Amino acid sequence: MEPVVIKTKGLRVTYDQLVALDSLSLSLPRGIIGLLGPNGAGKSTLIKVLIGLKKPVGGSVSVKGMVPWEQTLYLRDHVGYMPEYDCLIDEMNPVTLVSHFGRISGMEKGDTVWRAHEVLDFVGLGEERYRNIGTYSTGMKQKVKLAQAIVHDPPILFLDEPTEGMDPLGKEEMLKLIKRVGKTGKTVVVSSHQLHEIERTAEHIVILDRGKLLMEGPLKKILHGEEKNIRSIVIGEPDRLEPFRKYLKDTYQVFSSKIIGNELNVSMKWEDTGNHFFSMAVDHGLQVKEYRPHIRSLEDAFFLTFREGK
Amino acid sequence: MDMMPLEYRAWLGVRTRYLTRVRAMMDGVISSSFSSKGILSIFIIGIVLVHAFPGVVLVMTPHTRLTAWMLVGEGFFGWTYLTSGVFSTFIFLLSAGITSNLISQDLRNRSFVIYFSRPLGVTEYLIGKFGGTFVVMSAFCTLPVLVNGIMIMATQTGPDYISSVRILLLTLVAGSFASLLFIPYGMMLSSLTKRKAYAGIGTFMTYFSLTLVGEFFSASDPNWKLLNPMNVLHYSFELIYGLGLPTDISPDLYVLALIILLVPTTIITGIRVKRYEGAV
Repeated sequence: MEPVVIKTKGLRVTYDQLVALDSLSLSLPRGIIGLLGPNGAGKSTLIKVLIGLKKPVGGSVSVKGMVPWEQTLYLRDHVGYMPEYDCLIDEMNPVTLVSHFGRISGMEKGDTVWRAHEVLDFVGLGEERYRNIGTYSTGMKQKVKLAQAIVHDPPILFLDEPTEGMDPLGKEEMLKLIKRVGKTGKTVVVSSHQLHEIERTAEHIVILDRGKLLMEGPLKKILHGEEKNIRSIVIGEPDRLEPFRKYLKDTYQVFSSKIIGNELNVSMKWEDTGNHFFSMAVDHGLQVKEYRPHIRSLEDAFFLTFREGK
Repeated sequence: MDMMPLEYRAWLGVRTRYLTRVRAMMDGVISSSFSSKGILSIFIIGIVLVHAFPGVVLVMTPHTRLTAWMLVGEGFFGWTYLTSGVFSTFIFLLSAGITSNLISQDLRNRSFVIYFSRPLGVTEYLIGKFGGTFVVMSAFCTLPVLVNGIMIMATQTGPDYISSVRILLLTLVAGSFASLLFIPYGMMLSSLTKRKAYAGIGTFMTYFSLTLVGEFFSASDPNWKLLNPMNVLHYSFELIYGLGLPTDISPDLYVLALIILLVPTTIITGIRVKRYEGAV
């Protein structure tokens, strides 16, 4: 079990009368964490609370054992933040900007220039790094935003909509970068509403809606569901398939079943062993062509959670 | 075949102390000021017109020691040094030029968030911006005057070097005061607009308009001269060098003029930036 890096309990954040986060309790381990939810779900607010930019009205928060609004400066040495919107200084070039912010994050002047080049190399900015940021495309700006967030090598990264406004190739590149950063043992919190991107990147998922927690857990567990479900293809004589289907339907919880030619496609809840399923098929004079756990997509899980949540 | 991507490498350095971060902010202002062609031009022309010419004249004129009168009094052929309109005009131009982009740049680019998500509070942010501007202003208002003072001392014919050193130390105070007096107003205007031009022209035009209005009404009451920021600076020089305020100027109104230039402007700037810190 990975140690908990970020922990909130009964967190409540308001903007005047509007409740942005309500009774939010989370325990997030190290790794890449996908923060999902529609617009206005409270994703950006949660990130702001975690880096001490917004003070909650209730509840407790701990990031790497630190309380963000009590040990703010110390905590901020250990986090990197990539904001959602355009926030880079257009009149600077990335080398100057990244090294400048590296110094503000506590790096020695002598370290910042080579380190700026190192992280710009990592994010894939070439000779264009000497051009002013104002001339950059959205994708290039996103890379610079990532570079300024990682320049001081923080163990925790908060990336707010990192692929926003990027073209498909750029998105792909950014997701690969996030994965590569995640592999270094950092905790990377990625906020997004692009479900397929999070599904490909994250190891742990948090789903928020209107400031409330709808679901939290490891991605694998969410995709497999709480229960053990299987999907199987059974082959044999069509006149034997129908009784087998009827038997399954009468005895177990079958989600879907379809006979096409001499194949029965079945998706069902199955808590027994695989051998038992195979022997049942043999008893009916049939053969199992395919037997595998039924994995749903994150999109299915997301919408199911939403329907249940509402 | 794809090229192998560069792998992420950790930074293994030791973090600096928090106060050093303010120094980083200052360095940012200094390097951006000196890389601006406009500011650099004002700086160089100013050094030649304001400091080089009077410096040469003062050094070449026979003198027994460095006196306050040489720096702030009626100079030779009516040419004054620190109390000349040319010096004040260049201070206005330079302070307007540097401060115009100080905060408006972060407003325009919405970059407060990348400052305040780092170990930097509003106070450190403002001190850093102010400090950087002060250093650049000092390079114009203090350093050349000190150099001229040292040159005058080096060529003095009399033996009273102690008195000259005292004047030199007062010059350091006067230069520092001139460097900081006009920064808060410029910073305030810079925190009120996203546009560098509005902040820069607004700052300079305020000083210019106040100069005109102050001089226009001074015929009816000499205290109107205090509306002219140039006069506030000149009176401050005279006070620092121990020459006293002119008798027709009210000391209370002089202090009020100083407070207006420094206090509300700083408070407004602080409130504006604090507001942006909360909104990031």
